[in-house]
Amino acid sequence: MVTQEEFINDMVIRHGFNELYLTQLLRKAKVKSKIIKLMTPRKKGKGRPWYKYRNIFVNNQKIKGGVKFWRNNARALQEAEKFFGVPAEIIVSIIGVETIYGKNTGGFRVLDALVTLSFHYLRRADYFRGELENYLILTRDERIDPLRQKGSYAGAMGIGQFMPSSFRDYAIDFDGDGKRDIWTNNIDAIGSVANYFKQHGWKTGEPIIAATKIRTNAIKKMLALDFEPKYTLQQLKQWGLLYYGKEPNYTNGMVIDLKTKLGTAYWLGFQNYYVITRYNHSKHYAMAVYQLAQEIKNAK
Amino acid sequence: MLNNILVILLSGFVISCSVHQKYPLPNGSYDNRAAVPSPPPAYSTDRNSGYYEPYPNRPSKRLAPVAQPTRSTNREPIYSEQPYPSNNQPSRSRPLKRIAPPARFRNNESTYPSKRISPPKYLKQPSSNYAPSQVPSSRGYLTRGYASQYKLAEHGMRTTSGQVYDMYGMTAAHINLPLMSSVVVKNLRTGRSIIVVINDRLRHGLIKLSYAAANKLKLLKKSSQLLEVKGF
Repeated sequence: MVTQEEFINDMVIRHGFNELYLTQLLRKAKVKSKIIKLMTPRKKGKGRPWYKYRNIFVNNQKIKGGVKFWRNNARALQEAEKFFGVPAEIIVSIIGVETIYGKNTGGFRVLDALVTLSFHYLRRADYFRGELENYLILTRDERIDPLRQKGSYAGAMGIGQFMPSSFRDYAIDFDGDGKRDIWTNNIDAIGSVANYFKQHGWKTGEPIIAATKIRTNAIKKMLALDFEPKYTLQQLKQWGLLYYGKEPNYTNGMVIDLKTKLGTAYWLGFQNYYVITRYNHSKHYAMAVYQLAQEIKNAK
Repeated sequence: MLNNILVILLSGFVISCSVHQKYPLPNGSYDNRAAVPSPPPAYSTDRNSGYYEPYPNRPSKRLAPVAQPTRSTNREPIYSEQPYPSNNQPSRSRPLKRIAPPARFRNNESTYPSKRISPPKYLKQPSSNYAPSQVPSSRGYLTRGYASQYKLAEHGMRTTSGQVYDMYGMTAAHINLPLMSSVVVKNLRTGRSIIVVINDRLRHGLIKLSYAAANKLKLLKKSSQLLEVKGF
Protein backbone atom coordinates (compact mmCIF):
# COMPACT_ATOMS: atom_id res chain seq x y z
CA MET A 1 0.00 0.00 0.00
CA VAL A 2 1.24 3.44 -0.91
CA THR A 3 1.63 5.82 2.00
CA GLN A 4 0.61 9.45 2.02
CA GLU A 5 4.23 10.63 1.78
CA GLU A 6 4.94 8.48 -1.26
CA PHE A 7 1.80 9.79 -2.91
CA ILE A 8 2.80 13.41 -2.26
CA ASN A 9 6.29 12.76 -3.66
CA ASP A 10 4.75 11.24 -6.75
CA MET A 11 2.42 14.20 -7.24
CA VAL A 12 5.31 16.65 -6.87
CA ILE A 13 7.43 14.80 -9.45
CA ARG A 14 4.74 14.05 -11.99
CA HIS A 15 2.45 17.07 -11.79
CA GLY A 16 4.62 19.75 -10.21
CA PHE A 17 2.60 20.33 -7.05
CA ASN A 18 3.99 22.20 -4.07
CA GLU A 19 4.97 19.61 -1.44
CA LEU A 20 4.16 21.85 1.53
CA TYR A 21 0.75 22.72 0.09
CA LEU A 22 -0.14 19.08 -0.40
CA THR A 23 1.00 17.93 3.06
CA GLN A 24 -0.98 20.71 4.69
CA LEU A 25 -4.03 19.96 2.55
CA LEU A 26 -4.03 16.22 3.23
CA ARG A 27 -3.52 16.87 6.94
CA LYS A 28 -6.79 18.83 6.93
CA ALA A 29 -8.67 15.86 5.45
CA LYS A 30 -10.52 13.75 8.00
CA VAL A 31 -10.66 9.96 7.95
CA LYS A 32 -14.28 8.90 8.35
CA SER A 33 -15.19 5.43 9.54
CA LYS A 34 -18.71 5.86 8.17
CA ILE A 35 -17.35 6.03 4.63
CA ILE A 36 -15.55 2.70 5.07
CA LYS A 37 -18.71 1.18 6.53
CA LEU A 38 -20.79 2.36 3.57
CA MET A 39 -18.19 1.20 1.08
CA THR A 40 -18.00 -2.37 2.41
CA PRO A 41 -20.05 -4.57 0.06
CA ARG A 42 -23.02 -6.58 1.19
CA LYS A 43 -22.65 -10.27 1.82
CA LYS A 44 -22.95 -12.48 -1.24
CA GLY A 45 -26.48 -13.48 -2.12
CA LYS A 46 -27.94 -10.65 -0.08
CA GLY A 47 -28.24 -8.26 -3.00
CA ARG A 48 -31.66 -6.85 -3.73
CA PRO A 49 -33.69 -8.60 -6.43
CA TRP A 50 -34.69 -6.42 -9.36
CA TYR A 51 -38.31 -5.86 -8.31
CA LYS A 52 -37.20 -4.37 -4.97
CA TYR A 53 -34.45 -2.33 -6.62
CA ARG A 54 -36.97 -0.96 -9.12
CA ASN A 55 -39.25 0.44 -6.43
CA ILE A 56 -36.44 2.63 -5.13
CA PHE A 57 -35.81 4.36 -8.45
CA VAL A 58 -39.00 4.03 -10.50
CA ASN A 59 -41.61 5.58 -8.24
CA ASN A 60 -44.09 8.44 -8.31
CA GLN A 61 -41.79 10.91 -6.58
CA LYS A 62 -39.03 10.37 -9.13
CA ILE A 63 -41.45 10.55 -12.07
CA LYS A 64 -43.09 13.78 -10.91
CA GLY A 65 -39.70 15.31 -10.09
CA GLY A 66 -38.47 14.33 -13.53
CA VAL A 67 -41.36 16.04 -15.29
CA LYS A 68 -40.73 19.15 -13.23
CA PHE A 69 -36.98 19.08 -13.92
CA TRP A 70 -37.68 18.64 -17.62
CA ARG A 71 -40.00 21.66 -17.63
CA ASN A 72 -37.50 23.84 -15.76
CA ASN A 73 -34.58 22.90 -18.03
CA ALA A 74 -36.43 22.33 -21.29
CA ARG A 75 -34.13 24.57 -23.32
CA ALA A 76 -30.87 22.98 -22.15
CA LEU A 77 -32.26 19.46 -22.58
CA GLN A 78 -33.44 20.25 -26.08
CA GLU A 79 -30.04 21.68 -26.97
CA ALA A 80 -28.25 18.65 -25.49
CA GLU A 81 -30.52 16.28 -27.40
CA LYS A 82 -29.84 18.17 -30.61
CA PHE A 83 -26.08 18.50 -30.08
CA PHE A 84 -25.18 15.09 -28.65
CA GLY A 85 -28.06 12.95 -29.90
CA VAL A 86 -28.85 11.63 -26.43
CA PRO A 87 -32.59 11.66 -25.61
CA ALA A 88 -33.66 14.21 -23.03
CA GLU A 89 -35.54 11.64 -20.97
CA ILE A 90 -32.38 9.58 -20.47
CA ILE A 91 -30.46 12.62 -19.22
CA VAL A 92 -33.31 13.55 -16.86
CA SER A 93 -33.55 9.97 -15.66
CA ILE A 94 -29.82 9.72 -14.92
CA ILE A 95 -29.90 12.93 -12.89
CA GLY A 96 -33.02 11.68 -11.08
CA VAL A 97 -31.52 8.32 -10.19
CA GLU A 98 -28.18 9.80 -9.13
CA THR A 99 -29.21 12.79 -7.02
CA ILE A 100 -33.04 13.15 -7.16
CA TYR A 101 -32.64 16.05 -9.66
CA GLY A 102 -29.85 17.75 -7.75
CA LYS A 103 -31.47 17.62 -4.31
CA ASN A 104 -29.15 15.03 -2.83
CA THR A 105 -25.61 15.58 -4.09
CA GLY A 106 -23.99 14.05 -1.02
CA GLY A 107 -22.90 15.38 2.36
CA PHE A 108 -19.27 14.26 2.52
CA ARG A 109 -16.34 16.42 1.62
CA VAL A 110 -14.78 14.97 -1.52
CA LEU A 111 -11.27 15.24 -0.08
CA ASP A 112 -12.28 13.35 3.09
CA ALA A 113 -13.85 10.56 1.07
CA LEU A 114 -10.93 10.18 -1.34
CA VAL A 115 -8.24 10.31 1.35
CA THR A 116 -10.11 7.78 3.48
CA LEU A 117 -10.59 5.36 0.61
CA SER A 118 -7.10 5.67 -0.85
CA PHE A 119 -5.04 5.37 2.35
CA HIS A 120 -7.32 3.61 4.85
CA TYR A 121 -9.36 1.19 2.74
CA LEU A 122 -7.42 -1.65 1.13
CA ARG A 123 -9.95 -3.10 -1.25
CA ARG A 124 -9.95 -0.42 -3.96
CA ALA A 125 -7.08 1.79 -2.81
CA ASP A 126 -5.37 1.95 -6.21
CA TYR A 127 -8.52 3.15 -7.96
CA PHE A 128 -9.25 5.83 -5.36
CA ARG A 129 -5.64 7.04 -5.32
CA GLY A 130 -5.99 7.69 -9.02
CA GLU A 131 -9.21 9.59 -8.35
CA LEU A 132 -7.50 11.66 -5.61
CA GLU A 133 -4.75 12.52 -8.07
CA ASN A 134 -7.34 13.62 -10.62
CA TYR A 135 -9.23 15.60 -7.99
CA LEU A 136 -6.15 17.57 -6.97
CA ILE A 137 -5.36 18.36 -10.60
CA LEU A 138 -8.91 19.42 -11.41
CA THR A 139 -9.15 21.75 -8.41
CA ARG A 140 -5.91 23.37 -9.54
CA ASP A 141 -7.13 23.66 -13.15
CA GLU A 142 -10.61 24.92 -12.28
CA ARG A 143 -9.29 27.20 -9.51
CA ILE A 144 -11.64 25.85 -6.85
CA ASP A 145 -11.04 25.10 -3.19
CA PRO A 146 -10.50 21.33 -2.72
CA LEU A 147 -11.76 21.47 0.86
CA ARG A 148 -15.12 23.02 0.03
CA GLN A 149 -16.47 20.64 -2.59
CA LYS A 150 -18.97 18.08 -1.39
CA GLY A 151 -19.96 14.77 -2.85
CA SER A 152 -21.01 11.21 -2.11
CA TYR A 153 -19.17 8.82 0.20
CA ALA A 154 -17.24 7.52 -2.83
CA GLY A 155 -16.18 10.96 -3.98
CA ALA A 156 -18.74 11.40 -6.75
CA MET A 157 -19.50 15.07 -7.25
CA GLY A 158 -22.33 17.30 -8.29
CA ILE A 159 -25.72 16.92 -9.93
CA GLY A 160 -24.49 14.16 -12.26
CA GLN A 161 -22.26 12.46 -9.63
CA PHE A 162 -19.09 12.60 -11.69
CA MET A 163 -15.94 11.01 -10.31
CA PRO A 164 -12.89 13.32 -10.59
CA SER A 165 -11.44 11.37 -13.54
CA SER A 166 -14.80 11.55 -15.35
CA PHE A 167 -15.02 15.25 -14.58
CA ARG A 168 -11.65 15.88 -16.22
CA ASP A 169 -12.54 13.81 -19.29
CA TYR A 170 -16.22 14.48 -19.87
CA ALA A 171 -17.51 17.52 -17.94
CA ILE A 172 -18.20 20.47 -20.21
CA ASP A 173 -19.20 24.11 -19.93
CA PHE A 174 -22.57 23.99 -21.66
CA ASP A 175 -23.89 27.50 -20.88
CA GLY A 176 -20.73 29.33 -21.93
CA ASP A 177 -19.90 31.13 -18.67
CA GLY A 178 -16.32 29.81 -18.69
CA LYS A 179 -16.76 27.40 -15.77
CA ARG A 180 -17.47 23.70 -15.65
CA ASP A 181 -19.78 23.95 -12.67
CA ILE A 182 -21.54 20.61 -12.16
CA TRP A 183 -22.40 21.29 -8.51
CA THR A 184 -25.00 24.04 -8.89
CA ASN A 185 -25.46 24.68 -12.60
CA ASN A 186 -28.13 22.44 -14.13
CA ILE A 187 -27.19 23.38 -17.69
CA ASP A 188 -23.55 22.33 -17.27
CA ALA A 189 -24.67 19.12 -15.56
CA ILE A 190 -27.05 18.27 -18.42
CA GLY A 191 -24.40 18.94 -21.02
CA SER A 192 -21.83 16.90 -19.13
CA VAL A 193 -24.11 13.88 -18.81
CA ALA A 194 -24.97 14.04 -22.51
CA ASN A 195 -21.29 14.39 -23.40
CA TYR A 196 -20.43 11.40 -21.20
CA PHE A 197 -22.91 9.26 -23.13
CA LYS A 198 -21.81 10.57 -26.48
CA GLN A 199 -18.15 9.85 -25.73
CA HIS A 200 -18.97 6.32 -24.62
CA GLY A 201 -20.62 5.52 -27.94
CA TRP A 202 -24.30 6.39 -27.69
CA LYS A 203 -26.06 5.60 -30.97
CA THR A 204 -28.82 8.08 -31.69
CA GLY A 205 -32.23 6.65 -32.46
CA GLU A 206 -31.27 3.05 -31.79
CA PRO A 207 -33.09 0.83 -29.31
CA ILE A 208 -31.84 0.44 -25.75
CA ILE A 209 -33.38 -2.78 -24.59
CA ALA A 210 -35.96 -5.29 -25.81
CA ALA A 211 -37.86 -8.13 -24.20
CA THR A 212 -36.78 -11.58 -25.27
CA LYS A 213 -36.91 -15.27 -24.45
CA ILE A 214 -34.23 -17.89 -24.03
CA ARG A 215 -34.52 -21.57 -24.80
CA THR A 216 -34.80 -23.28 -21.44
CA ASN A 217 -31.85 -25.60 -22.04
CA ALA A 218 -29.58 -22.69 -23.01
CA ILE A 219 -30.19 -20.34 -20.06
CA LYS A 220 -27.01 -21.29 -18.19
CA LYS A 221 -24.84 -20.84 -21.25
CA MET A 222 -26.42 -17.53 -22.25
CA LEU A 223 -26.01 -16.00 -18.80
CA ALA A 224 -22.37 -17.06 -18.64
CA LEU A 225 -21.55 -14.79 -21.61
CA ASP A 226 -19.60 -11.57 -21.09
CA PHE A 227 -21.44 -8.44 -20.00
CA GLU A 228 -20.66 -6.63 -23.22
CA PRO A 229 -22.60 -6.32 -26.50
CA LYS A 230 -19.94 -8.06 -28.54
CA TYR A 231 -22.14 -10.88 -29.82
CA THR A 232 -24.32 -10.47 -32.89
CA LEU A 233 -27.97 -11.48 -32.81
CA GLN A 234 -27.12 -14.23 -35.28
CA GLN A 235 -24.70 -15.81 -32.81
CA LEU A 236 -27.05 -15.36 -29.86
CA LYS A 237 -29.94 -16.91 -31.80
CA GLN A 238 -27.76 -19.88 -32.66
CA TRP A 239 -26.90 -20.36 -29.00
CA GLY A 240 -30.52 -20.29 -27.86
CA LEU A 241 -31.92 -16.78 -27.92
CA LEU A 242 -35.55 -16.53 -29.03
CA TYR A 243 -35.90 -12.94 -30.16
CA TYR A 244 -38.90 -11.89 -32.22
CA GLY A 245 -38.09 -8.20 -32.74
CA LYS A 246 -37.33 -6.42 -35.98
CA GLU A 247 -33.63 -5.73 -35.41
CA PRO A 248 -31.39 -7.19 -38.13
CA ASN A 249 -29.18 -10.18 -37.37
CA TYR A 250 -25.93 -8.22 -37.41
CA THR A 251 -27.01 -6.04 -34.46
CA ASN A 252 -24.85 -6.49 -31.37
CA GLY A 253 -26.50 -7.37 -28.11
CA MET A 254 -26.20 -9.05 -24.75
CA VAL A 255 -28.55 -10.98 -22.52
CA ILE A 256 -29.83 -9.62 -19.21
CA ASP A 257 -31.81 -11.56 -16.63
CA LEU A 258 -33.90 -9.79 -14.01
CA LYS A 259 -35.92 -11.25 -11.17
CA THR A 260 -39.48 -9.94 -11.35
CA LYS A 261 -42.36 -10.74 -9.07
CA LEU A 262 -43.69 -13.26 -11.58
CA GLY A 263 -40.31 -14.95 -12.09
CA THR A 264 -37.06 -14.44 -13.98
CA ALA A 265 -37.53 -12.55 -17.22
CA TYR A 266 -34.95 -11.89 -19.93
CA TRP A 267 -34.07 -8.83 -21.96
CA LEU A 268 -31.76 -8.15 -24.84
CA GLY A 269 -29.51 -5.15 -24.21
CA PHE A 270 -28.14 -3.25 -27.18
CA GLN A 271 -25.16 -0.88 -27.47
CA ASN A 272 -27.07 1.97 -25.82
CA TYR A 273 -27.85 -0.20 -22.81
CA TYR A 274 -24.14 -0.89 -22.46
CA VAL A 275 -23.44 2.85 -22.61
CA ILE A 276 -25.79 3.40 -19.66
CA THR A 277 -23.92 0.74 -17.70
CA ARG A 278 -20.73 2.79 -18.24
CA TYR A 279 -22.26 5.32 -15.83
CA ASN A 280 -22.70 2.63 -13.19
CA HIS A 281 -21.63 -0.93 -13.89
CA SER A 282 -24.89 -2.58 -12.88
CA LYS A 283 -27.59 -4.21 -14.97
CA HIS A 284 -30.19 -3.13 -12.42
CA TYR A 285 -29.03 0.47 -12.56
CA ALA A 286 -29.20 0.66 -16.35
CA MET A 287 -32.65 -0.93 -16.42
CA ALA A 288 -33.93 1.46 -13.74
CA VAL A 289 -32.60 4.43 -15.74
CA TYR A 290 -34.31 3.15 -18.89
CA GLN A 291 -37.64 2.49 -17.21
CA LEU A 292 -37.67 5.78 -15.30
CA ALA A 293 -36.93 7.55 -18.60
CA GLN A 294 -39.91 5.85 -20.23
CA GLU A 295 -42.19 6.73 -17.32
CA ILE A 296 -41.10 10.38 -17.37
CA LYS A 297 -41.61 10.55 -21.13
CA ASN A 298 -45.12 9.10 -20.79
CA ALA A 299 -46.02 11.37 -17.88
CA LYS A 300 -44.74 14.52 -19.55
CA MET B 1 -101.17 -29.05 -100.73
CA LEU B 2 -101.31 -32.83 -100.62
CA ASN B 3 -97.87 -32.88 -99.13
CA ASN B 4 -98.97 -30.49 -96.36
CA ILE B 5 -101.96 -32.62 -95.44
CA LEU B 6 -99.79 -35.72 -95.33
CA VAL B 7 -97.37 -34.00 -92.93
CA ILE B 8 -100.20 -32.99 -90.61
CA LEU B 9 -101.65 -36.49 -90.60
CA LEU B 10 -98.37 -38.25 -90.14
CA SER B 11 -97.15 -35.94 -87.35
CA GLY B 12 -99.72 -37.41 -84.92
CA PHE B 13 -98.59 -41.01 -85.58
CA VAL B 14 -94.88 -40.72 -86.07
CA ILE B 15 -93.12 -38.66 -83.37
CA SER B 16 -90.04 -40.71 -82.84
CA CYS B 17 -89.43 -40.93 -86.60
CA SER B 18 -86.76 -38.59 -87.86
CA VAL B 19 -88.36 -35.78 -89.80
CA HIS B 20 -86.57 -34.78 -92.93
CA GLN B 21 -86.55 -31.09 -93.47
CA LYS B 22 -84.96 -29.33 -96.33
CA TYR B 23 -82.87 -26.22 -95.69
CA PRO B 24 -82.53 -23.72 -98.50
CA LEU B 25 -78.94 -22.96 -99.34
CA PRO B 26 -77.66 -19.69 -100.83
CA ASN B 27 -76.98 -21.29 -104.25
CA GLY B 28 -80.68 -22.26 -104.61
CA SER B 29 -80.29 -25.99 -103.86
CA TYR B 30 -81.48 -27.72 -100.67
CA ASP B 31 -79.48 -29.42 -97.94
CA ASN B 32 -80.55 -33.05 -97.63
CA ARG B 33 -78.84 -33.71 -94.26
CA ALA B 34 -80.92 -34.59 -91.22
CA ALA B 35 -81.66 -31.75 -88.80
CA VAL B 36 -79.55 -31.79 -85.62
CA PRO B 37 -81.82 -32.83 -82.74
CA SER B 38 -81.96 -30.16 -80.07
CA PRO B 39 -80.66 -31.37 -76.66
CA PRO B 40 -83.33 -32.39 -74.20
CA PRO B 41 -84.17 -29.73 -71.63
CA ALA B 42 -82.76 -29.94 -68.09
CA TYR B 43 -86.28 -29.84 -66.66
CA SER B 44 -89.75 -28.85 -67.71
CA THR B 45 -92.79 -27.56 -65.93
CA ASP B 46 -94.95 -29.51 -68.42
CA ARG B 47 -96.33 -32.52 -66.59
CA ASN B 48 -96.55 -34.57 -69.81
CA SER B 49 -92.98 -34.10 -70.89
CA GLY B 50 -90.46 -36.68 -69.88
CA TYR B 51 -88.39 -34.06 -67.99
CA TYR B 52 -91.15 -32.95 -65.65
CA GLU B 53 -89.84 -31.40 -62.47
CA PRO B 54 -92.49 -30.25 -59.97
CA TYR B 55 -90.12 -27.91 -58.01
CA PRO B 56 -87.53 -26.68 -60.44
CA ASN B 57 -85.77 -24.47 -57.91
CA ARG B 58 -85.02 -27.38 -55.62
CA PRO B 59 -81.90 -29.35 -56.27
CA SER B 60 -83.09 -32.32 -58.20
CA LYS B 61 -81.68 -35.78 -57.87
CA ARG B 62 -81.58 -36.15 -61.60
CA LEU B 63 -78.63 -34.31 -63.07
CA ALA B 64 -78.84 -32.64 -66.40
CA PRO B 65 -77.08 -34.78 -68.94
CA VAL B 66 -73.69 -33.36 -69.72
CA ALA B 67 -71.81 -33.96 -72.89
CA GLN B 68 -68.75 -36.11 -72.32
CA PRO B 69 -65.56 -34.29 -73.14
CA THR B 70 -64.04 -35.47 -76.33
CA ARG B 71 -60.33 -36.13 -76.52
CA SER B 72 -58.71 -33.31 -78.39
CA THR B 73 -55.07 -33.30 -79.39
CA ASN B 74 -54.18 -29.77 -78.21
CA ARG B 75 -55.34 -29.80 -74.63
CA GLU B 76 -53.79 -27.48 -72.09
CA PRO B 77 -51.21 -29.47 -70.14
CA ILE B 78 -51.79 -29.88 -66.41
CA TYR B 79 -48.59 -29.48 -64.44
CA SER B 80 -47.76 -30.58 -60.95
CA GLU B 81 -48.52 -27.97 -58.32
CA GLN B 82 -45.88 -25.34 -57.86
CA PRO B 83 -44.78 -24.71 -54.27
CA TYR B 84 -44.25 -20.96 -54.77
CA PRO B 85 -45.76 -18.33 -57.05
CA SER B 86 -43.98 -18.60 -60.33
CA ASN B 87 -43.08 -14.90 -60.59
CA ASN B 88 -40.88 -15.11 -57.49
CA GLN B 89 -39.12 -18.26 -58.63
CA PRO B 90 -36.03 -18.28 -60.79
CA SER B 91 -36.48 -20.10 -64.07
CA ARG B 92 -36.00 -23.83 -63.78
CA SER B 93 -33.29 -25.56 -65.70
CA ARG B 94 -35.31 -28.75 -66.19
CA PRO B 95 -38.85 -28.67 -67.60
CA LEU B 96 -41.61 -29.58 -65.23
CA LYS B 97 -42.69 -33.19 -65.23
CA ARG B 98 -45.98 -33.68 -66.97
CA ILE B 99 -48.30 -35.87 -65.00
CA ALA B 100 -51.69 -37.40 -65.72
CA PRO B 101 -54.61 -35.43 -64.30
CA PRO B 102 -56.38 -37.03 -61.35
CA ALA B 103 -59.62 -38.88 -61.95
CA ARG B 104 -61.86 -36.10 -60.67
CA PHE B 105 -60.54 -33.79 -63.39
CA ARG B 106 -61.13 -36.36 -66.11
CA ASN B 107 -64.81 -36.99 -65.31
CA ASN B 108 -65.92 -33.41 -64.96
CA GLU B 109 -66.74 -33.86 -61.27
CA SER B 110 -66.45 -31.26 -58.61
CA THR B 111 -62.81 -30.39 -58.06
CA TYR B 112 -63.31 -30.07 -54.33
CA PRO B 113 -61.88 -33.07 -52.53
CA SER B 114 -64.48 -35.28 -50.97
CA LYS B 115 -62.51 -35.50 -47.72
CA ARG B 116 -61.68 -32.13 -46.19
CA ILE B 117 -57.98 -31.64 -45.59
CA SER B 118 -57.27 -29.83 -42.34
CA PRO B 119 -54.88 -26.87 -42.56
CA PRO B 120 -51.28 -27.59 -41.51
CA LYS B 121 -50.55 -27.18 -37.83
CA TYR B 122 -47.80 -24.69 -37.05
CA LEU B 123 -45.93 -24.14 -33.82
CA LYS B 124 -48.36 -22.56 -31.45
CA GLN B 125 -47.46 -19.03 -30.43
CA PRO B 126 -49.13 -17.27 -27.56
CA SER B 127 -50.05 -14.18 -29.47
CA SER B 128 -52.95 -14.74 -31.81
CA ASN B 129 -53.18 -13.42 -35.32
CA TYR B 130 -56.92 -13.40 -34.91
CA ALA B 131 -58.14 -10.19 -36.48
CA PRO B 132 -61.89 -9.84 -36.96
CA SER B 133 -63.47 -6.64 -38.16
CA GLN B 134 -61.44 -3.83 -36.68
CA VAL B 135 -63.37 -0.70 -35.86
CA PRO B 136 -61.92 2.38 -37.59
CA SER B 137 -61.43 4.45 -34.46
CA SER B 138 -61.53 4.11 -30.70
CA ARG B 139 -63.31 7.45 -30.34
CA GLY B 140 -66.56 7.18 -28.47
CA TYR B 141 -65.79 3.66 -27.25
CA LEU B 142 -66.97 3.12 -23.68
CA THR B 143 -67.39 -0.25 -21.98
CA ARG B 144 -67.26 -1.72 -18.52
CA GLY B 145 -65.98 -5.11 -17.64
CA TYR B 146 -63.13 -7.16 -16.26
CA ALA B 147 -59.59 -7.52 -17.52
CA SER B 148 -57.36 -10.51 -18.00
CA GLN B 149 -53.57 -10.36 -17.76
CA TYR B 150 -50.57 -11.53 -19.74
CA LYS B 151 -48.50 -14.36 -18.35
CA LEU B 152 -44.76 -14.38 -17.79
CA ALA B 153 -44.39 -16.93 -20.60
CA GLU B 154 -45.62 -14.31 -23.08
CA HIS B 155 -42.78 -11.91 -22.21
CA GLY B 156 -40.64 -11.60 -25.32
CA MET B 157 -43.21 -13.00 -27.75
CA ARG B 158 -44.43 -11.15 -30.80
CA THR B 159 -47.81 -9.45 -30.63
CA THR B 160 -50.24 -9.02 -33.52
CA SER B 161 -48.93 -5.53 -34.24
CA GLY B 162 -45.40 -6.88 -34.67
CA GLN B 163 -44.09 -5.35 -31.46
CA VAL B 164 -42.55 -7.62 -28.86
CA TYR B 165 -44.51 -7.91 -25.63
CA ASP B 166 -42.56 -6.43 -22.73
CA MET B 167 -44.03 -7.01 -19.28
CA TYR B 168 -43.03 -3.48 -18.23
CA GLY B 169 -44.67 -1.83 -21.25
CA MET B 170 -48.03 -0.06 -20.95
CA THR B 171 -49.79 -2.14 -23.57
CA ALA B 172 -52.95 -4.19 -23.89
CA ALA B 173 -54.80 -6.58 -26.17
CA HIS B 174 -58.33 -5.94 -27.40
CA ILE B 175 -60.82 -7.64 -29.73
CA ASN B 176 -61.51 -4.97 -32.31
CA LEU B 177 -60.14 -1.56 -31.35
CA PRO B 178 -57.59 -0.38 -33.92
CA LEU B 179 -54.00 -1.45 -33.31
CA MET B 180 -51.68 1.21 -31.85
CA SER B 181 -54.63 3.25 -30.61
CA SER B 182 -54.71 4.37 -26.99
CA VAL B 183 -57.47 3.87 -24.45
CA VAL B 184 -57.98 5.00 -20.88
CA VAL B 185 -58.53 2.14 -18.45
CA LYS B 186 -60.04 3.15 -15.13
CA ASN B 187 -60.40 1.04 -12.04
CA LEU B 188 -63.90 1.87 -10.80
CA ARG B 189 -63.12 0.57 -7.32
CA THR B 190 -60.19 2.87 -6.70
CA GLY B 191 -60.61 5.57 -9.32
CA ARG B 192 -57.08 5.08 -10.68
CA SER B 193 -56.78 5.39 -14.43
CA ILE B 194 -53.99 4.66 -16.89
CA ILE B 195 -53.42 5.01 -20.63
CA VAL B 196 -52.49 1.88 -22.53
CA VAL B 197 -51.68 1.28 -26.19
CA ILE B 198 -53.56 -1.53 -27.93
CA ASN B 199 -50.92 -3.57 -29.74
CA ASP B 200 -52.36 -7.07 -29.65
CA ARG B 201 -55.50 -8.97 -30.51
CA LEU B 202 -57.71 -10.92 -28.17
CA ARG B 203 -60.28 -13.65 -28.79
CA HIS B 204 -62.34 -13.58 -25.64
CA GLY B 205 -62.96 -11.03 -22.96
CA LEU B 206 -62.84 -7.25 -22.77
CA ILE B 207 -59.16 -6.36 -22.48
CA LYS B 208 -55.88 -8.06 -21.61
CA LEU B 209 -53.43 -5.87 -19.70
CA SER B 210 -49.65 -6.06 -19.49
CA TYR B 211 -47.94 -6.68 -16.13
CA ALA B 212 -47.04 -3.01 -15.62
CA ALA B 213 -50.55 -1.84 -16.52
CA ALA B 214 -52.16 -4.36 -14.17
CA ASN B 215 -49.70 -3.38 -11.46
CA LYS B 216 -50.62 0.29 -11.75
CA LEU B 217 -54.33 -0.52 -11.45
CA LYS B 218 -53.57 -2.80 -8.45
CA LEU B 219 -54.99 -5.82 -10.23
CA LEU B 220 -52.15 -8.23 -9.49
CA LYS B 221 -53.49 -9.57 -6.20
CA LYS B 222 -57.18 -9.20 -6.99
CA SER B 223 -57.84 -9.32 -10.70
CA SER B 224 -61.66 -9.24 -10.64
CA GLN B 225 -62.22 -5.53 -10.25
CA LEU B 226 -64.64 -3.63 -12.44
CA LEU B 227 -62.90 -1.49 -15.04
CA GLU B 228 -64.03 1.13 -17.50
CA VAL B 229 -62.38 1.23 -20.93
CA LYS B 230 -62.75 4.50 -22.76
CA GLY B 231 -61.38 5.40 -26.17
CA PHE B 232 -60.24 8.85 -27.13
